[in-house]
Amino acid sequence: MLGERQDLVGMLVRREDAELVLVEPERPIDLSNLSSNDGGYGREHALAGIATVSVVYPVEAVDVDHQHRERPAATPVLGKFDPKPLVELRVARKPRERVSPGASGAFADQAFADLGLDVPEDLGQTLHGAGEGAQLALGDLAPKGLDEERLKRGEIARDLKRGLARAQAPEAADPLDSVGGQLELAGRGGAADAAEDVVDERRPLTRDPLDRDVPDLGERRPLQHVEQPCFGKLLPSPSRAGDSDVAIPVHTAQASPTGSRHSRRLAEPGPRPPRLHSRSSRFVEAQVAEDNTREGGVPGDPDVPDPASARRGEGGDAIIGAALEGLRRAAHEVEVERSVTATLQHSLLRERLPDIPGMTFAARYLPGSAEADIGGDWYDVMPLRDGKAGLAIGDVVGRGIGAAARMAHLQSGVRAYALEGLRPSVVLERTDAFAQELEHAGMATLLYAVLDAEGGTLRYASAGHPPPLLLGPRGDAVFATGRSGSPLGTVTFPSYEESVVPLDPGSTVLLYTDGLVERPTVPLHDGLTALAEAATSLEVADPEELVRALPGRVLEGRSADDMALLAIRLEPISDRVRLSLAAEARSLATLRRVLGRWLKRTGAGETEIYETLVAVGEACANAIAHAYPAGEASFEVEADHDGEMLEVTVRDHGRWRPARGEERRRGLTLMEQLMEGVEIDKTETGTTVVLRRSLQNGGPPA
Amino acid sequence: MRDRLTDVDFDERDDGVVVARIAGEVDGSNAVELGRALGEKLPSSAHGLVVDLGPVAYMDSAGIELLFGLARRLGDRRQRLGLSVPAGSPVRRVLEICDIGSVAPMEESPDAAASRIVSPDA
Repeated sequence: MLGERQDLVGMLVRREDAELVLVEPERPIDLSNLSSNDGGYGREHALAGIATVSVVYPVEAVDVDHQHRERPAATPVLGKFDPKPLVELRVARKPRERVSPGASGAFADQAFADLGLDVPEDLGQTLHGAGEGAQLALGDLAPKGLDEERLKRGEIARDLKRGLARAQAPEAADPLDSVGGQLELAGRGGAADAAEDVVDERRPLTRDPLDRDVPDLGERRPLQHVEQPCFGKLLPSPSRAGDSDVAIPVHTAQASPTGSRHSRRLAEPGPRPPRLHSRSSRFVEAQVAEDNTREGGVPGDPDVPDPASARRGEGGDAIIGAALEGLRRAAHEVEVERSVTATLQHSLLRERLPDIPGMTFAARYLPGSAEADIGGDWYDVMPLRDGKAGLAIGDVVGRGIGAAARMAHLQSGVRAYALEGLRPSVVLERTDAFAQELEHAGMATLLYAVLDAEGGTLRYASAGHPPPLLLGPRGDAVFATGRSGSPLGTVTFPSYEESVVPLDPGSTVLLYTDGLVERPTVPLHDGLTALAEAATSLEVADPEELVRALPGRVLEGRSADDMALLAIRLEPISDRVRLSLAAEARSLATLRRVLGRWLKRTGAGETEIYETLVAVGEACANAIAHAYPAGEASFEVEADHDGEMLEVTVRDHGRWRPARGEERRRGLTLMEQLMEGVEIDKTETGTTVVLRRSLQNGGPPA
Repeated sequence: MRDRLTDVDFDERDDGVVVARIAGEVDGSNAVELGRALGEKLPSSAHGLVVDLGPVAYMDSAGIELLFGLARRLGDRRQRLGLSVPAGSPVRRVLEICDIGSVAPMEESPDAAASRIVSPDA
């Protein structure tokens, strides 16, 4: 670890195919948080950053920390990155001084990383030896394959090339030996292969326009070893647009005809390159635009010259291309995976939560702080019969497309079993069996609950999932204490216990995934405590506000895993009911939910509630049948009770026609039989029905 | 997302009676469709249909109209309708008020209702 706080601005990541990726994290991160046993957080962070930037800072000191991090075998970060060692280029950021030759360090680092070499003790010297050599060769070659158009498009790492070109220096004693040695070592990689081809063709040094010795490489022979062409689209960073006027001397001897055009651009006067073989600052710049996968660089894109032909005979270009190929491909793959995963996950999570009377829902999904951290977290809300809601929240182990796909399977399973009306424990048992049938099941946690607004209960079972947080009407927060069973996919015949939690009207149930409460260094208990305290301190009743504000309050700016939150509030019940409903048959169920819940609150018995609901339902059915104008009409329902006497008024704005048919007559009969008093007042502007009955079990709630 | 009010399970018994078990709520928003589904599901070879209202949580006059209509259509096909309503069910009183017994006998279990269909005079 480096002693002082530094920003990690660049990383070299070794890929399975021996290509190298220069990465810059999305934002600078505190190195003190990074350690070799941080579970790969730093690496993931870096990979996530691939999609946007590469390495680009002039640095005063370079410290390469070559760590062989073994990734835990069970938790592959992304399938295509193998658990191989990682080389990090850690540099102290010095943003203002943008002089000095550029890519030597990076290229040397690449060579090391490519081979997984130990970094020699005399780090600077070695890096420079290799880097300078590479740059000498590359710098000479680079202009050959470039034309202005390509430069403008930033298709090749222009700035990288500048750096390469500038590395030419008369002081280099035997640059070709140096580069040859290093690149030979690195010979398995595409970049190194290309370099070898170049280096093998040693030529006598000639003089370049800056009066330096440069190798005369003459005609290039085609390069055969470069892997499939796949150039990154490299663009100057918008935030550093001014850098384009950083003058960089470039030698242009042996420039090909096409090279002359770009030479004009590059051969402007500028500061003299610092001496090599010293710990001079470096300048490495190569930026991959975030949209590189859309705007070009894809093989077959007619706007992009065939990279293979571009490289053929242009060794420097080839080397750069090969190096950048890894960058571009990694960026492309990460970007594709990220976008596919995000799309998949997005399409699986309900955007619009169901409208169930008596409950208010809000949900939120947050990807992890690293952009590749889209995982298998999900939530679901299903309207069940009798006005109940099925609530599911789960977390599939793993990340990326695979996790999202497993999540999709499980979500379907849970939904199917939930809609069967099965109880929570059975839903979990069936889902577990279902999960074990999946080809790539893996492990998952799942909590399924049935929320009954009328009964005021939450019935749930948990398969290794964190407990529901219950927020009382007065803001008190407690965790449900029901026992949690094994996660899905871990036990052949699991059994799950069911718990029933009573909920007062105005209470909120919060379901969440472990991203909200688990952090690497914090015991789970502390995470839960922090969640409860945060939820209490927020003092918000609105679920939407809760899920919006809670993650920030709990995490206090710390980065986190991905997470899903689902908050459900049981609406408070007022002393009397006042409802305005659309004059359509669907409103009848809504009426029953609201009125049933209110009647229960008054202490009415089950039969009294049922009979009242039928009688009021008949009055409402009439209001709907006589609605005028059809389509946009509404009717009102008011309910109140004065001690033991219940009074319900249904008012519409249509005109009741004489009762026609058996059904209408039966409706009136039911009202009269089920209630003690029925008054029907028909006027020109509408009809009002007042229904009364005494409640034997009634009386206001305590 | 559709409102989920009602589920129906069908069971074709060995004695030639089909039992339709209705769970949930029946009101003006779904009664017509439910009545159609019940009629269509009954094979012409069956003796009759038992509608098991045990798991029904709510049924108003629209649902009762459904039963009257169903009894009529089955009668046209020389099939019988029977009802199973557990004793003490709040639905029972509503059905009695509407005199459903005039078109379909009401028993307390699907078995009893099926027996009435197979041997009406037993």
